[in-house]
Amino acid sequence: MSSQFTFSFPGGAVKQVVTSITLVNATAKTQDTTVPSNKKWVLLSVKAVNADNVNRVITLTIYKEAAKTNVIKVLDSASIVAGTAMQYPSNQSDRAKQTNATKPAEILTDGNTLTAHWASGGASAGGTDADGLVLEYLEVYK
Amino acid sequence: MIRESCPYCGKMTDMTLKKGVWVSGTCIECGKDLTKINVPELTDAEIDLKAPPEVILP
Repeated sequence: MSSQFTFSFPGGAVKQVVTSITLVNATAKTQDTTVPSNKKWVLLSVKAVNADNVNRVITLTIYKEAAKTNVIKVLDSASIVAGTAMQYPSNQSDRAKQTNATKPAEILTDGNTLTAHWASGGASAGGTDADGLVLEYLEVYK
Repeated sequence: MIRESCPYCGKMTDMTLKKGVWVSGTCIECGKDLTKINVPELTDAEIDLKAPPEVILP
């Protein structure tokens, strides 16, 4: 009897969640997205835009709970050029493109919080982008 | 649950879903209207898809 290798993908709904992000002069910004109860997410990608006119360090972090008491991991952190985006996952030095797609992708369970943080870039004009943060994931029931 | 930080008070507040996009609302902590923050909007550079004058199209 020959052996068989099977690779299965989870089902569920494909979600592309778009969030408007507004950055203010010399002010850090945090945006939290929490996985709803009874759901699991298979995180496929994250796009976080630096809509400001100065470079800002953008950090993507996964916490265990909505209260953000325990850090699960830091997905990425890099200085992002003004007007450009960080795309996760990426093995490019400028993070401008999603490359190196992880298989399997990050799996989040209910209560986990994905945080996008824009550090202050110093004096700036600020900026806003209608699709400043985009999360792409598969949502499956627990 | 999607939340963002308020630049006025530094606390986290809920965002609102409008036309399929999560947007800022009024901060539940300090009551400031975050939609009134006036900053430049980042727009994608427009690409001219029309052939330049020197190009002779068939």
